[in-house]
Amino acid sequence: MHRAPYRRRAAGRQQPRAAVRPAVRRLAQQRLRQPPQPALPPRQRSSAFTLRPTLRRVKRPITRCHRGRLVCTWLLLVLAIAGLGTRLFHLQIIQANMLQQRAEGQRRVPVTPLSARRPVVDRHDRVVAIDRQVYTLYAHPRLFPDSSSEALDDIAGKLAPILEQEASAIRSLLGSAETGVKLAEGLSRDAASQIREFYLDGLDLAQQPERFYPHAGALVSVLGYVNDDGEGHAGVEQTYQDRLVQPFEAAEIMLGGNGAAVSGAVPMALLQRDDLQLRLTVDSRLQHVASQALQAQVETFSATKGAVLVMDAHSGALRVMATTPTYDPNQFYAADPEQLKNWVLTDLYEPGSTFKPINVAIALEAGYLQPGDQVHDEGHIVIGEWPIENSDYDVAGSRGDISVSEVMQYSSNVGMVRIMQRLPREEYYQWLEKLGLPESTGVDLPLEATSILKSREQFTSSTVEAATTAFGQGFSLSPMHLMQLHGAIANGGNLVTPHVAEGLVDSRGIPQWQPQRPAPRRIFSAKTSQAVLAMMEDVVTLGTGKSAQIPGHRIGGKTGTAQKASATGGYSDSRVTSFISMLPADNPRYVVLVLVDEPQGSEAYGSTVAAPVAKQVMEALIVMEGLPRQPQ
Amino acid sequence: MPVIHRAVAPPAARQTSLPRARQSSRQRGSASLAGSTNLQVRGAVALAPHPEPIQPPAPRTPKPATAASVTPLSKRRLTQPTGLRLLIAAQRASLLGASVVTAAALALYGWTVYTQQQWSKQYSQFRSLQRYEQQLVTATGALEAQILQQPGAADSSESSSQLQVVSPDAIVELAPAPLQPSLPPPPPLSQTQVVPRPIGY
Repeated sequence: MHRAPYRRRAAGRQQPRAAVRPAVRRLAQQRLRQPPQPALPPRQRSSAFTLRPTLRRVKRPITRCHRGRLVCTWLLLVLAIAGLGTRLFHLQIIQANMLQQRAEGQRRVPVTPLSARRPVVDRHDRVVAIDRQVYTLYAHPRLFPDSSSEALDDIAGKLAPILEQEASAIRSLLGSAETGVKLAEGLSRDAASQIREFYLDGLDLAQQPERFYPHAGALVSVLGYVNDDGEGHAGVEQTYQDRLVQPFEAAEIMLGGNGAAVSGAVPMALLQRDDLQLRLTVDSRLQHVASQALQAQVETFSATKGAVLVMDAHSGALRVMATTPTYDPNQFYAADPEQLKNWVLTDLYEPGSTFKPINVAIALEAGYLQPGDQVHDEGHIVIGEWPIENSDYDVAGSRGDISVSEVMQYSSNVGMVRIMQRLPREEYYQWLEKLGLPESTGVDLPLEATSILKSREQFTSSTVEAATTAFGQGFSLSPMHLMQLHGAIANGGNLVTPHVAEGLVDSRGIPQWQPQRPAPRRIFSAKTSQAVLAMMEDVVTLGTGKSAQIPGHRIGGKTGTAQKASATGGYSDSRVTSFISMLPADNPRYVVLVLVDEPQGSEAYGSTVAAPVAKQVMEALIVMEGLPRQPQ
Repeated sequence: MPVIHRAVAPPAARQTSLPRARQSSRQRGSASLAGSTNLQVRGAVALAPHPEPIQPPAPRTPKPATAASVTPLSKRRLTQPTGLRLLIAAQRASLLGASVVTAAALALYGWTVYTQQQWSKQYSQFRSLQRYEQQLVTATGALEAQILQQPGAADSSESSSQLQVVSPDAIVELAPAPLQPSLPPPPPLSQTQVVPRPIGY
């Protein structure tokens, strides 16, 4: 019965339903909410239609205003739909490719390898070069949420302690450009984490691997360094560049909605990376001992530079290659360019008396000399127009007839001239060539210089050339070459190729790759080398090498004090002191060469400058290698 | 084969105008009840579990059903048509298959989601382990280098240094132990039996 007004309205007025319906609906709802009314008598019931005036208000005719409103609403809706459609078209059709690419760019993340180069370990698998992750911090001030001056000051103040820079310097950098300002590089992971905690837009941390050398400058002559482009310079970093660079195919990984990697998109090469590392023959512990001993001696004698080489006589494996001065390969850019070269390989010098055992071996091997022979030492002779005398001629004068061993003990220049005069000069030259003098050693380090020997004509035509060569002057070779020649005496006559790299080994130490090296070449017989070794042992026991004696151990050696050639020709007053030694003397395993260039002082000789360093190195070698004591 | 007997329904029941299907279903329901309880209910069908036909028990009604009034149902009316049976079997099989497939699909979906999550977790763990390994190796190398760089033999008088390179004097060499008594020598060759080589070889 409450629906009666409804019916009446529906049956009565011919009005648009749209205009009437809301009012009617309200009314109906209102009535429905009311509790049911008791049925009224017909008369009272008619009085219930007092609502009629309300309905009448709805029934007003549509005015122009209403029509305009309707049209406006319709137009607004149509425009809105058209706008949405246009935007949809723009997004889905016109910008679709660009947006897809952008989305792909966000989903695809390039996989950066943790290390670009394989680690380098010493012979005891101590890490001597390894890649580590570092971060470069870029700032884009345009993207800062607040780029006011105070905000920039605040950012600079926050970054200063982390970057270990002055806040003012960072502030001036931030003001220098709107984007792409490099604030710091080589940041550690901790520093990067601290910067990330700022959650500041406009700071960008780029991650890249960087070569790290834990031993700093101690092994730099062996290792070299890697520049910012990932190219190895000097040392094994350059020689084995191809082997050290880890093969890596540029790969991308897909990220899911939560930022985690999605499976199936990771290149297997990334997961199955090899664990190879380059193992050196060098012993970093011994290298440190040698470096410290050398450094101390160079400082004591105010020398310009020094070097210590220790080589396994039988294999040619270098156990030590220490030089001074040195530089930190972690900061190679701060080093003096002159220091970047390895002077043990690049610089030639006249070996002086340390070459005498080689000459004696040549004479013995050629058959012009017997170990028990005697030669006449006048102390001072003149060859052609050139005077030649012993270094101790002022003190010792002429020694008369002395044995070959005594020639070595006293380091007699005249005695050596007399020995080598027994060889025809042509044959002597052939022997020098056989030793590979005008060549290089073939060591696996870059920039090795080639030894310099006079031409055959010059050598054979002049008597003084052979005479000066007899006591190690008049030709030049690198310290490495001298080491190689002495290795032949130590190992029974084989010329081995010195090397610093053993090869690539996996993480379990199993060799996976070894560089090809030329086979040892025999130049002396075992008998000759034994004879020379005995003479060298006498040098340490009785002669100039006493300062290298180690009680309980048999050591052979030879001192050398060579004049340096001056730039203007002839010889200058400066000298190179050196000491070559071998142990154990009866069957040497190791050859030790110490060179100190231009030591100052009147007492600067091979026996006083270089031999004590060699002794310290040999003591460490005995301990580390466990060489047993020997009966004297 | 069980033989089915139908009790003759009382006249009132027979006069009902129930549709045949409904009627038969009611009968079937009663029959199963009667078969399971082995009770004969008036107006119902009894199922005999044994090949021998069961004599209807003594009726409790005033008008007992006679043996003549029980007529066996024709097999044809009760057995379903082959096509229907096949369809029902196919429906059941497909229902079972659909259930299995649905369960398998759900399991497969769950498995893919789970393995994906696990893979992502494992991958991030793998990467972090790689980083830790690198950091550990680097830190170990740095520590070793720091120890080795301490002044040793070159400057053992350095007060800050606690380390010293061992000199050969400090080495204790132990003489090798005497050789163990060797095993008894093998019998001389002359005593060993030499197998004569056949001429033919």
